[in-house]
Amino acid sequence: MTDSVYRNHFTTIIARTLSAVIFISIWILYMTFSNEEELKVEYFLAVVAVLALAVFCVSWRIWKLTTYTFTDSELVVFKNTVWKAKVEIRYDRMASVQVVRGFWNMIFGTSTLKFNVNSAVNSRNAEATLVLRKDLADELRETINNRMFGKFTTSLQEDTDIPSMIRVTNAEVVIHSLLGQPTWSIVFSLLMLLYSVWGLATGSAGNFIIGAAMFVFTMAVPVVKVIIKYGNYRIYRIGDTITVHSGLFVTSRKSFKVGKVNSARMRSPLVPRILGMCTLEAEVVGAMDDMGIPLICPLKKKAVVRDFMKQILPEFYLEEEVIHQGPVTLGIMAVKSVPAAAVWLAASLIIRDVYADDLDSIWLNVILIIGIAGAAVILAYMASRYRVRTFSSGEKLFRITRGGFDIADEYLMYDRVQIAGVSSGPIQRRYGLGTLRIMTLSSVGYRDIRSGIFPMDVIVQVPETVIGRIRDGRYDYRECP
Amino acid sequence: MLGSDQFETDENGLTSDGYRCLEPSSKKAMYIVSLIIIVVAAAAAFAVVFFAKGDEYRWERIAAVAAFALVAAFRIVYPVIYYRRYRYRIAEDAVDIRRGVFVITHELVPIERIHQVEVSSGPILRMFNLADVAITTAGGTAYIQYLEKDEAEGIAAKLKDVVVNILQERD
Repeated sequence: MTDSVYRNHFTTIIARTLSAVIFISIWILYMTFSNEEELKVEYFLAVVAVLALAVFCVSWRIWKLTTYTFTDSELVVFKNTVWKAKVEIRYDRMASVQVVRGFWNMIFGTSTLKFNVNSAVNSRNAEATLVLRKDLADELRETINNRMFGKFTTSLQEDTDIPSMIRVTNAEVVIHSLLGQPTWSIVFSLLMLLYSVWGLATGSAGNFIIGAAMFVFTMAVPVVKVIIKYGNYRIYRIGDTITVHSGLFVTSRKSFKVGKVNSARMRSPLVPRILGMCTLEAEVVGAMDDMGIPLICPLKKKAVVRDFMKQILPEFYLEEEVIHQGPVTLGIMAVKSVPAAAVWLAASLIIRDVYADDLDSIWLNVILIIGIAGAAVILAYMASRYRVRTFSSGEKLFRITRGGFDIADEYLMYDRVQIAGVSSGPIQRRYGLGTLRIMTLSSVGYRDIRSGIFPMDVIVQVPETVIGRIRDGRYDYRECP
Repeated sequence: MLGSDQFETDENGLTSDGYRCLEPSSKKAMYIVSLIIIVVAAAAAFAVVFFAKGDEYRWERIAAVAAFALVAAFRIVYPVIYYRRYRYRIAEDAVDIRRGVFVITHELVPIERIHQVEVSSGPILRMFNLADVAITTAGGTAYIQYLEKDEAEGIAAKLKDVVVNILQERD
């Protein structure tokens, strides 16, 4: 492969200028009308024109002085603007390559290529972003895939000839958008909806607007974003490269090597858990979407997801004996949870007593109900955490199940563990128990994963195995990010 | 593994399995940190007592004084126990750190995972010629705290050499 030099497609200048014009216009109009002033059209147009010209000139200069060079071994981004920078990204350090077609891409017939490296630093943003004409972007991506992943398929072949390894209907995507969020988020959104309905019923416009706005931002918008993001979902694996292709209007194609997967997770919020459903997620730097979910499979029946995991990520599948928390653990957890529940109930009774003369009996009863319900939730959470948290270990992998109402099975490789530790409080020490703490790379930097409370001789094998595999040569750095 | 007897040391300052303890001057640095925290807590409690006058704020004043008493008692005892229990070991392939007051933690950092080593020293540590060593991996950072400055520099240099040797062997 000879060195190929590219610049961003020139329409990035137009897109940036138009975005600035729209933003500036909205801001000026907002400031004008919020101060109840009259809009002078000629001044408005003059200001917008001057600012648009300034943005255009700056954008043109950046476009002109920024080059992307693809060599045999690396991508070199050279920015010769006021802040000069030279970024060199080796292909063997790249974790994922993503092709995104957003609004401006659709308008101008371009695609955006995003390149991510496997590092906790700046993991959320791509290391390099390049906008090219669509066919050129597909051609370049195919060439880079050959270098990175050893893939020899074209984008057209991927779109037409390679079937998805699991069928995901748009109806399932809708269900995932509604039920796949954390339970606390759904409960909060529903409370805001109730608050807005109460505002409407009592004729309080302010309460209605606040409640409705909170409901829209915490529930409606994320649901719509997920549906748009994961509509037409396809996923397949060729060799050791996984490709996820999705999007109703904004299409995205992400590829990453299995070797860059830091951990896998089967996640079940409360309602899907009751329905026997879960998602499958993989922590790969740069493969995260705007909602923070590195998705491999949306919500489906647990047995289906488990079977799919055996196909798509067999390296992370573990079927070993599960160790549950012992009965002493419930007592240890009760030491924190029972006083917490008592404090919550006591606080509600005190508040009820303080406001006894100022509030109607209905509101006093509401406060009492909140107090009792809150205490019950705390105790129920404790009981659920005691029941669901498990641990199991194999030769290369171990699994930590954590959570209370929402649960997650975390599948981790010993060779991907960065820091391992065990901790033990005074009561735990008395019974030879402890908690495992693992720090590993994730899609957004690094993750701190804590297990339940287990016998020390069970969990201490994790840090000992991590070191043992390095000492005896079972750990191969070439297979790890 | 984390029983209190694991922190007993011999005349060389090593535990039975080769862990080192902190310098005595580190306790003084911890006491100064505790003093600062106690002063801040006292100021907060005083503010509540001074401004929340009247019988209707009696419980708030009691709660503020009680909270201050708890914080003060904890911070007085904390340096003694933390110093007695803090242990670290730089082995051939891993950095081991044990520490804690109520919750005792044993942290293991494989040297093979280390990306960066940094020695830092704030104003309180500099008063006693002490420093912290921050060991950064791709998945987070571990700290060896309250080391004598030369010891900290020596550990950082040793870890950097080992990491460079590992990388050179791979090339």
